[in-house]
Amino acid sequence: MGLTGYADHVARIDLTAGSVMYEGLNVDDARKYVGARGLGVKYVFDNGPAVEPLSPDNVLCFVNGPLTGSPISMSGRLAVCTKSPLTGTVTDSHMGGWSAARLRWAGFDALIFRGRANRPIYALCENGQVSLHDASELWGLTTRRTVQLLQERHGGAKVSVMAIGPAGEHQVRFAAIMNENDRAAGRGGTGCVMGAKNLKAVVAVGDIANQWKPDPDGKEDFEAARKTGLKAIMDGPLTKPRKGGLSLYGTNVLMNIVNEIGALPTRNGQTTHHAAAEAISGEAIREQFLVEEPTCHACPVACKKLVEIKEGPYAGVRTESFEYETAWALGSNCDMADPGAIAKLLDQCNEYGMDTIELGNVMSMAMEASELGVLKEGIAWGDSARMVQLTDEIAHAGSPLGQVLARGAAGAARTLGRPDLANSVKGQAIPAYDPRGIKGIGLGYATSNRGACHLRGYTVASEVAGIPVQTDRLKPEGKGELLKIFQDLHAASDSLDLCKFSAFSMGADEYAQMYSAVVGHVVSAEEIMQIGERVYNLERYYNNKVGFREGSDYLPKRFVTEPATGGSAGQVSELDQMLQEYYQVRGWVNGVVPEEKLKELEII
Amino acid sequence: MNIRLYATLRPLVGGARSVTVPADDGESAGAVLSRLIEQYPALTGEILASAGSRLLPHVQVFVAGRSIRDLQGLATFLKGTDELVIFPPVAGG
Repeated sequence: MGLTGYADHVARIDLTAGSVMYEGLNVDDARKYVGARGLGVKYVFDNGPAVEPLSPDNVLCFVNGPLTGSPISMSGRLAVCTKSPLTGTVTDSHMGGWSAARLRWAGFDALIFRGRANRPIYALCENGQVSLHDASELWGLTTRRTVQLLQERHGGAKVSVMAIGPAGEHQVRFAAIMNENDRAAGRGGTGCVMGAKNLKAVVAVGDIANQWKPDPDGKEDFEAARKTGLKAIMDGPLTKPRKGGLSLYGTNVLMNIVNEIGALPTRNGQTTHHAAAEAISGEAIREQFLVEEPTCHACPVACKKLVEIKEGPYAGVRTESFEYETAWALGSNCDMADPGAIAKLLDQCNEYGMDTIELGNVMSMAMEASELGVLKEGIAWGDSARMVQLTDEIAHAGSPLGQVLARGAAGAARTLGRPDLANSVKGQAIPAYDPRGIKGIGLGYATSNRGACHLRGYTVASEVAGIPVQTDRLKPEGKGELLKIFQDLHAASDSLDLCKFSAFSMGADEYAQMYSAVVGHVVSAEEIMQIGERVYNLERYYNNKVGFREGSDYLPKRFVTEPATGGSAGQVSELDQMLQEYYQVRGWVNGVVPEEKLKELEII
Repeated sequence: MNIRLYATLRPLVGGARSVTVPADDGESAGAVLSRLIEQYPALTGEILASAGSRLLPHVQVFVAGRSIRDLQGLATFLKGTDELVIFPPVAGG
């Protein structure tokens, strides 16, 4: 195959030397791993497993997929791939908005940063060229101020900026990379790696006039594929613009349903139902605080919810996006239901560049440690004013406690001598679904290649929403097979790179049609699933080489021993049973990819 | 019987978070839902397929935290003290 659909242009930036080399894509890698997550993981893999995440030897890869920035719906995404300082695994973290599209329109499939600059710098990407510039005057600034100054300097409307804030500069292990639309590459500490490289920002100057277009021979197929995707979104009961739940209420439409079924981790998972959750639900936020509904490149859904707080101690806070994960992590998880305080904390995370999910778990872990007397002068359940103060201290390494909590929930709990208080897997804290009330997602946390994560295999779609078919959320049987399907499907869409929410209205057939139309040769739905399986196994192979082997797929003890409450009363996770089935369908041996599987998938 | 509704269903019952419909002990979920729709015609086509034969795809009806899809569907028998909770298609991430 050729490389139709790609820019076929990659920049390798050596920050130590201050030099830039350019290369085309490896054709075989592009065929096997497609782009974004797949290719990014391959770049990390090729850099070797022994690298220290915060050393100059680690790579930080910004990688587009072949669909990124195209007219295909939900294609405004890129993956940031690296070895995570939070988990020690390979990680990929995606962001929406327009930065991915503009990076593609600036002429790039990927930027691979290595080394460490001897002073703060930023990278300017324009017309297929990367130049490095002094960022000393930007160091210490918040992300929004950084974005504003760089947009003014480089021309405004066609400029995207992906920047770190103080959290990345201070090596907070869960620092995020933010872009000009308050979108985050949130999970896994990609912003921490960026800070360790003294890389303050990546600026992409790209005009939509440079958007990829099919040649005349492929135009008809491309238009058909584009319309297939658009129609699926426009007609989908969940994604339908201005009518579907996701479009009207954003991701936070989940708050009430997850609470109803008793799967909302509350007070650090002490219970699974929060009596006050309605106050921070998507319905309440839309009614009381919503001011705008921004969207991303080529997306009619507009799930982002920009809020403004009008009264109380946080009056004047205006920030996006009031996501379900954020509302849960900083709200119910901490026994707090003040929308104004959550908006303030979200705004801090946006400005400082931090993952709201990990921060919420850090706080809830500290609250439980304080309740138990493990942490003196700590923080009480629901003390939002103290949360705001601690968030400042974490982001700026501004106090001894802030420095401890900056290690993430697992790292901080270890330091406190109570690792059991962290609801983390492989060093990354859980998102907003309790493994006791939704069995498949618990298996997903345990087996995720980047630490606890819902986005690796979103079985919640099936177990709660009935997409594509309903499965009983409380039954462990069959969850191994279900999870594998979701993990492989998402690994494929993350490599294209399409928004995860496309899976609410599309599947492998639609992905295959769109990918085929862009690359100019027919790829089947079965091949799409195999690409996803290959990417998932490559990640696992890397982690195996790092040292994650038998026993590395686990859940915090709380979820397998302490019964849930509310709509899942009495339930615990039957993890061992599900793991056995999962390893069997994966063809793995106790979490390790055997050589025959690697050969079958053409990884070796 | 008290019935709680969420998201896009609330505007269809005048913005209420919950409504009450008459229901007898031992009635099926389907019968109660049909009565709800009779009482609030704006819900027609939002919960049940035509003729009330089945739940629309992705609509969730819960009794004590359990989806009736995981019980006996519309044939699930209810106690007079039960509460129904209805969600339109919702998902996020």
